[in-house]
Amino acid sequence: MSAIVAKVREPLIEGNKSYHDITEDICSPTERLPGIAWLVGLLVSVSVLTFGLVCIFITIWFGIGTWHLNRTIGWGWDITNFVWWIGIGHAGTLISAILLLFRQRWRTGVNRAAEAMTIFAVMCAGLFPLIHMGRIWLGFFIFPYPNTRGPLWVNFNSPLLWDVFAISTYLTVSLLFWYTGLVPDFATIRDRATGFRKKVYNFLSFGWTGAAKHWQRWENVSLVLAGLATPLVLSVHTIVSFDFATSVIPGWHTTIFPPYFVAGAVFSGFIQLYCSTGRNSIGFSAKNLSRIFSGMYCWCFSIKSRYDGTSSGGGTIGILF
Amino acid sequence: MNKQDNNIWVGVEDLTNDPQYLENAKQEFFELPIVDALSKEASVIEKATQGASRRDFLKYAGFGLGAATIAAGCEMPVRKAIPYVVKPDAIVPGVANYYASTYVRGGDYCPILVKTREGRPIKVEGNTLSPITGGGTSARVQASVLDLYDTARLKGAFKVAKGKKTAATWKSIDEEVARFLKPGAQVRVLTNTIMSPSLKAAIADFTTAHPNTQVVTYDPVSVSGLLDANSANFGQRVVPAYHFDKADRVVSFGADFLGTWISPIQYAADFAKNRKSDDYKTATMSRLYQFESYMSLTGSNADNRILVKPSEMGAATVALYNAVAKLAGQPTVSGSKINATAATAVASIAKDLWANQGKSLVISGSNDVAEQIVVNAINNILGSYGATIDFGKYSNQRQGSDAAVQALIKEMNGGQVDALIVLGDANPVYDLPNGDAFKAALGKVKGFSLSTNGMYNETSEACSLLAPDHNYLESWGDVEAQNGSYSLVQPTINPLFDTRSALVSFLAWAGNSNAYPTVMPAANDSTAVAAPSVVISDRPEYDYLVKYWQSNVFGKQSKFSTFQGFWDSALHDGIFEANVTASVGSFAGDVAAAATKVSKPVSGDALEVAFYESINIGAGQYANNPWLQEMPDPVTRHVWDNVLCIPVNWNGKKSYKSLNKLKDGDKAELTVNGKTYTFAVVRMFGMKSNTVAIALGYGRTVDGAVGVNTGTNIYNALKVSKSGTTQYFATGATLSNRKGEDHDFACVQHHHTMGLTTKEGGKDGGVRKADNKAKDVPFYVDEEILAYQGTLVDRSVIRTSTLANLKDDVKDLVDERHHHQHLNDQTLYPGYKDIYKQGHHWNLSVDLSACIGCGACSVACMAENNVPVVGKHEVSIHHEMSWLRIDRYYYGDSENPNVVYQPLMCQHCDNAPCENVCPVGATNHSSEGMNQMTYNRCIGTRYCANNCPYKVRRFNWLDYTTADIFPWNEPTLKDGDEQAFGADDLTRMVLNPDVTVRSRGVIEKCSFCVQRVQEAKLTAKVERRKLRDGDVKSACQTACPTGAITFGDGNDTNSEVHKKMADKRNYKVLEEVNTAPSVGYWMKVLNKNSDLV
Amino acid sequence: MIKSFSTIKWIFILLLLPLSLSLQAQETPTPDGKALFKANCASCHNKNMVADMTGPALAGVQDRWESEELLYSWIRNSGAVINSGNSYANTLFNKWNKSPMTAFPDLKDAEIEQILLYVNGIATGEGPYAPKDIVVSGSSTENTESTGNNYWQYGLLAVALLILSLVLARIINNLKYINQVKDGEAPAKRTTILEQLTNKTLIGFLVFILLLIGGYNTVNNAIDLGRQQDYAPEQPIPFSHEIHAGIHKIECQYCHDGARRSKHAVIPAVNTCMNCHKAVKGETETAQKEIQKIYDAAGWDGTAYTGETKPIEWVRIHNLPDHVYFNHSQHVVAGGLDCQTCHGPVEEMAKVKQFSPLSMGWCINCHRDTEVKFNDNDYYKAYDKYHEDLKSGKMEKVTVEDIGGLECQKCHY
Repeated sequence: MSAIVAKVREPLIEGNKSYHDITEDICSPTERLPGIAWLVGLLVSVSVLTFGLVCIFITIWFGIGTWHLNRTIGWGWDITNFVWWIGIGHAGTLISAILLLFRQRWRTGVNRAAEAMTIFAVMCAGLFPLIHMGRIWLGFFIFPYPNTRGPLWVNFNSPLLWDVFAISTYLTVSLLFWYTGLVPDFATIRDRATGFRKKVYNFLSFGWTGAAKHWQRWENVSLVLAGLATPLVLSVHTIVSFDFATSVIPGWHTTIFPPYFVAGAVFSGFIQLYCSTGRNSIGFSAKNLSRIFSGMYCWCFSIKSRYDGTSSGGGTIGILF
Repeated sequence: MNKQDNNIWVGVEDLTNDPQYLENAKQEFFELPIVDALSKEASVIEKATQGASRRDFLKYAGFGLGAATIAAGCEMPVRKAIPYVVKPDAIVPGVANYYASTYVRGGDYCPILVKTREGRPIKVEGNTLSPITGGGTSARVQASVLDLYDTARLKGAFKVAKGKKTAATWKSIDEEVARFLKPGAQVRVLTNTIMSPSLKAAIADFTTAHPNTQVVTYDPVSVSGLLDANSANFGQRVVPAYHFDKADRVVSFGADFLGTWISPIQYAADFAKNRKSDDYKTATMSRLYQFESYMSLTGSNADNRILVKPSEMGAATVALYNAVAKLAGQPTVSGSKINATAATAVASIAKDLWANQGKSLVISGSNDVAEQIVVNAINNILGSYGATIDFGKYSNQRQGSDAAVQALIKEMNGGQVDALIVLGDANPVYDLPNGDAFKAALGKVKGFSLSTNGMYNETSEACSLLAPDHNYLESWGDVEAQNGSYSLVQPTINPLFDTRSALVSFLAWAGNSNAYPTVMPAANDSTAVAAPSVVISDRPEYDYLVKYWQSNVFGKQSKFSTFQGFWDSALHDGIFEANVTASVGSFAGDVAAAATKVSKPVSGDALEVAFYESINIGAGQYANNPWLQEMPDPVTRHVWDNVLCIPVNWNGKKSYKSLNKLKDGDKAELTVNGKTYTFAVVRMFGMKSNTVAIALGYGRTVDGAVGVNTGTNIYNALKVSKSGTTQYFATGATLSNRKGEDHDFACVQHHHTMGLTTKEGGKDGGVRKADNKAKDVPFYVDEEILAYQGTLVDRSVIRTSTLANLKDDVKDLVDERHHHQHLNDQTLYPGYKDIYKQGHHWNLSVDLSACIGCGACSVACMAENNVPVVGKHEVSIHHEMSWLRIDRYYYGDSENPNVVYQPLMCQHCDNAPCENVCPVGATNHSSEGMNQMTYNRCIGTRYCANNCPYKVRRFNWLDYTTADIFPWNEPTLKDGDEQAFGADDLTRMVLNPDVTVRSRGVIEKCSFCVQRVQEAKLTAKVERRKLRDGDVKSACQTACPTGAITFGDGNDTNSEVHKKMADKRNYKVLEEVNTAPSVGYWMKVLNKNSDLV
Repeated sequence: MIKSFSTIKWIFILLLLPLSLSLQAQETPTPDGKALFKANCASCHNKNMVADMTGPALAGVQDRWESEELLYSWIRNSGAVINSGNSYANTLFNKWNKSPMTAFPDLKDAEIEQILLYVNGIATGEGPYAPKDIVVSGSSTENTESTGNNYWQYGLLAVALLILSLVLARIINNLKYINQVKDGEAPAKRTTILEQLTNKTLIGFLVFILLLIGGYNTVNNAIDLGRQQDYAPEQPIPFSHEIHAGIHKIECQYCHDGARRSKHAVIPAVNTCMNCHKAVKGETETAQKEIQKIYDAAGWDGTAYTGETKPIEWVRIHNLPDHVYFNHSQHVVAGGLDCQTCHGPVEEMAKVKQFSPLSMGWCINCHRDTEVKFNDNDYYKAYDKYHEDLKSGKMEKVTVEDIGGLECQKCHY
């Protein structure tokens, strides 16, 4: 198919590609074995990950005391990290959802990467407060589940509890948004695949046939989710900032924190997205889903920490993430 | 910037705006040298990953197994309950028993009540019946219960050869002793002060059997000079009774009578009596002048401190004598010149003293006979004898003679000693100035040398036999601390080990003339039970004691007609007061001659060193007690080390400089009397320039794991003066520049800071002053230090006043509190405050004027609430766990400041910022106004600790208590230890069973001793009566020697605490933050001599 | 397709029927008068029904009231009846020092009826609750049997329904086949039983049911994790509380003397046993053998103590976690509770078991409901506002919760 090119606008896809070409571009990497570079990247990532797991083990085994915190404030770099990761996540959602709401067609080039970035970022963000707990094995106390302690409930006054809800909501919506967008692509891969692969993709694509009704509903769901996700971007980081802003500690007790956190998050997230999608130079394609995964993977674990080696276990974890 | 300033500061950094300090303060993390961090890292990781040892393997295997067990459904282990076969009548499991006893160790003395649970002593309280201490205690007394469970205690008799000890039976020890105790044998008994009349009688029995026995008494930190002076002037070689409560003016020449000097608990209690007033409008106070060269605990509580160099002390004494003598119209004597400030001060002090004749008291901590004679002369002129000094009820708490012990060394070297028995805590090899000489001389004792110390120490190592005595909580005994003031020591637990009372040992060695077994049955040796030719009693020391009291003490009273009645009463009360008439004593002495003998001031800038006894670990005998090691030194605020105090001086322009530009934690070499030592330094305000000070008692080489190599021993830098007494200062010392750094420098001064800032930071500097009228700005936030967590300038933390300005300052305080309350009177929850109006509302009040900062409360809290010990490294990274910290603040003249000690525990805020941030509700408020911490609910987010404006919440960073679900992950107390402190079953016996031992990963904090509150409430309910004021006393309250702390029900309008909280001197810390604390503080009031300011 | 679905629907309904029945049976048990009496009345009314306690003796209570309705409303809210001006109610109120009876607004008619039946049974010795002679494990055996009966019946029902549903499925299948043949659909196929049983929907449904039951059990077991209700371990001496406390009526606190003085109820020392067993040597051989164990422990050779003692290692039944502070004297003396409230009918237990779950929820529930005897104890004078509210009628009763009985640091410190 020859592309219809507007006179005043640059083509979104260069190289006069047909739909088939694009489908080929997107799907082919998933249909062949990954290259050496990818494997090396994976190996490096996994080894760093293992190192990180050892660090987490040390932290949990010996206690947070290995981090040498408590300079009056008992929180450390991991809470900073938590805030930072949440921030990173926000830009992904913001780009994807707002662009969708504003019907920006160029969104399709980056949205998958942005959404994937959001999900990984939120997962990382969730990890840090968790390992930062003194008794992680009792972390489930933080959920308002029915219990036989009287029942003993959670404290809805605590900004930390708001965090729990904010983050879990955010993760849920982001996951749905991301997965909904993936469904037609899974179907495309399914149609090209054979054997076991086909079964897997068949399951993942939820019986997508590409019918007009499917597309219509898909559009609706995407819009609704985008509409949900956009205010979440603002609320989640605002709530994260409440961890500090609602305290009585001088320097924390500040009304500027909510907008400050959100703005900071959007900035840092955009840059992160730029970095992770700007990997074309080393052979990654923004359109390439699996490459994005691996890109995210490498990127997740290659960010050098600001942490200056001042702690034992925590320091090493810092280097890890 | 002004040298003279009324602001408050805590250390040199915040006074000088040290850029490094500001930078550090902004850092969230500790800047540890990377090598250090990595080396520590390596050990942790090594342990975790290399799996070199079997223990490590077990560790991981254990974890796997544990995890599997949890997964498999938490099978409950079968737990056994083993009741008594025959239950003792006195014991009801779960109910504590109290026994009156007496804490005595060398010259340290305190009548106590011992709390036992199921037969084991767990806590020591003061005995309120005692007229000497009035129920007060000290940190050492509070910590003494832990010594009972010291794993380093000797478990039986030993023989020592070449520094190696081998277990021996008591029989073999006795045989060995008997072998050398031939008729005419020259026996020497070397001991610290003995206050036990029955032990003295037993030694007398021994002396009868072996007539060539001599008892040599010495004290590790000696007051020999005082005793000799009294001997010369009054014919009585005793410490007289000093009545600080009757003295309106006290002058102390370097005597740290609130900290360590002779009988600090008694003196502190008496001193405080004359400093407290019920009504501020009619308040009167005594006035304390302290002459000293370094900041001692007493000096920090003085109204006026006069800085003199250590070598100037004698001259200052003579100067005061001359000034007083001139006023009295008596001849003056010649004396050396002292520094100008001190000379001016002496004149006005003399005037003040003269105006208060008969109500004044002059004391000296000097060990120089001549100086003490001059002091006696001053007291004589002022008419103190009979008024504030009493020779009738003289004290027995110091009896040592420096000359005697030196003579003993000569004797031993001369081969004239056949046998040496070292009694109790005496540790001459360690704590004599010439300990090495003593050790060498010990080798020349012809027969045996024997130590009865319950611990293995430097002297035991050089002895040939060890016959360990019981711990005081295991033994019978008596004490006559003052002439006619008796107390009884009764055992509260069976001896834990195969030890034997020293009294019994003496009786045994005295031969067969006594009806006591020569051999005590030994549990570990079935053959040890010899067939005695005489009747065996199973408690010979008890029988001896009773017999002694029957024949010697019973007759001193008229209340009881039968001895049994008298004995039961004395045993119940723990004390017995015989009637003793006061004795004035007539002074006879040659002051002029003495004045020529006092130490001459050394002119010039040569460095002088002041040596002082540590408040925590005394002369070294308490070194193996981790509670005392972990208690911050009240003045320098460091732990686990003796650090060199160096002066900080204002350079006259705009900054302060310390000696050799050293900073806290720097290491430097001190050369004194030809010997060189390396110390970490701490910069101290209020030190005479070119003077440094260092604590004695550290650096033990043979002791338990805690005491060994903690700090540096500096006893061998002491010198014996010309008059034969040990001299506690040195001149002509040199201090090097910085030689490295102590990476684990553990000074808690800047930990958990609140409300303070750099002096130049805020408009008003630190804390709001009494005269500050700028009340329209509730918060003044200084942007410079905004990033310094926990710091907000212009906060109401410390309030001070002087007696002269008290009324004005109280008015200001009331206004300011009104302002703070007005700021916060709008609330979203109307009526909310009423919920605490019925039932109980627990309050605690601290009188900052009465608090002397001694730290007894802090240790009592550790003992009561199972607070873990964390060790030096953990303290150095702000991980100390103490629930009650005592903050030290300076104010006034920065070169010679006054000090406020503020005990800070959880404030139990009714609007607690910690409560609403806990996601799981682990901390919340009770209807009785208590801020509750539920350890089992806590998941360790530490949000509460962050949000606490007072920084009183403590987090279990590591498994300090060994109560964790993962085994074997405890931090060790010191590098190289196998086990964490308290991990062994013996030490765990000290735990209070009513208080949960917190596991790793949870927050803990002061609970207002909720276990005591609940117990008292239950007792009231069971007795169907209202709760009475005084039913509940917190552990800190009962420990306090000065009665500075009051706890009680604030809703009870008749309660003491209610009155205290309603007093106008009362204020609340950070009241403007609207936390509504339940703890109130009374402003610190000094009675300064305005002529001197 | 649709028809086969309807088959499944039938099976579904049929299968669910017994399940729902059993669930119902568990949720609303027939009210047991005895249990209800113990839970609600026994703290104030004497168990023998003929003597007064905090409240009046209940024997013949129905006869004393003019109508059943009035009695019922009295039980539910005595204050209302008093205020309505009923003369008997007022006499009663005045007679009992104007202390109102605790209100039980939640008691159903059937429950009150059972309580009254129980009261009558005890008082008159007739009816379903008539006291039985003490028979070894009398009531408990009966209980087990009746439960066993239930299960058996349900099992039978389920099997019958299963067969029925299979038969129905076959019939439907056959009808469908006939239809197909009639319609001439080719190839007409008769599904086999195997095919019907491996039907996707059926398997899916079964998996769903399994998950449901599994989840239900998992949650329940997870809740019970680490608890040991009904824990009845073998003891070194099979000491029977039934004989000691039940038949011989030895006061609980004779042996467990700590209960009124201490936080521990205290397992009695061996010398407490010896107080009686010096003389009581046992009549049967088994009894003698067991009593001999006490003699061994105490070091009693039949005439004198030898001094060689050997403590008895009992197995602890009630294990509270270390972080829970529980004080017996608080509950027994200050609270005035019967031992049985928490420990169950120990006097009927030949082998003691943990009666209560000892869960935090269990503690809390009791603290919520239990009334503090506010006027009896001067200690509570500190709560002046509650006293005012009680007087003014603003509060009906003060529960343990009201005076802070639910606060964390009442039990955890």
